[in-house]
Amino acid sequence: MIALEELINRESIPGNFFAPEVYVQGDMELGLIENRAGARLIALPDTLLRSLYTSLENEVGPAADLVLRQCGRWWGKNFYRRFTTEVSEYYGKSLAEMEMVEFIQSLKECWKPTVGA
Amino acid sequence: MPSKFEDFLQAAEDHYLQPTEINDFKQQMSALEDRLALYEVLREQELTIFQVVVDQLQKQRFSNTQAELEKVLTHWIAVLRYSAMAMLLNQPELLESQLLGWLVDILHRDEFASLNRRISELLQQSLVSVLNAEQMTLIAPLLQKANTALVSEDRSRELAVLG
Repeated sequence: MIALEELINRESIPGNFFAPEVYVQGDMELGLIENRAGARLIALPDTLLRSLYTSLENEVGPAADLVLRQCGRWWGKNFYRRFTTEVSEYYGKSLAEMEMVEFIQSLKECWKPTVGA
Repeated sequence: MPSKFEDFLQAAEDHYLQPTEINDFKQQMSALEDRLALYEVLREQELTIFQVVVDQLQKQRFSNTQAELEKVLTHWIAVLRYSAMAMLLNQPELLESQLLGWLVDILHRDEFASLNRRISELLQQSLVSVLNAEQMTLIAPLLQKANTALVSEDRSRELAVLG
């Protein structure tokens, strides 16, 4: 027996947390953007990213790899912490309770390019 | 994503709208009214619509567990909800970005194939009995999109649609 009423009366049936129309929000006039959970976002132009790499290479030479790795590790740890919190809050279950495919989908949607959307 | 109404706002920047534009505006208004009416029907009849689906579904045997049945059904409830909103806003692309793109890998799996197909058929039948022909034509394209993404056997085609 399927308890339909129960399914329908659930508070919400989640969709794509990372849908670009709702994920990125902000105040254009203040120049602030944040995601739907209220975490601040930053938009960096491609040119800046590229020049960061080049300058790093010029400044520290062969140590650039090490610096990038350290930064990446630090950033990734924070990113994952935020991703976990937001996704499990939205879908109402911890990542451990999620099916693999649901987790993968969220990760994929999170990284989907949204430029121009 | 500018709506039709925003187009009017922009067109009227420095002048009164012309009679043809006013007519167009009126048409947009009445189309919006129709869509809102349909949205309300879908919202209020949600239980009725899906009860028919569930009743028919339970007459059949599927290889899926009870939990899977409920899960798949819940996703289809979401499909209709998101379709209804996309229809109301007249922005069909919202269905893809907010639901289908994410849902396709979760739902379009071999073990759910016959269940998906059956729910989709039953939902269609159930809607036909609740909505009038005009309303069906408003919501049908969205359900068709969902079908192509979630039920269709030809996976390469649906990826092309979603991509």
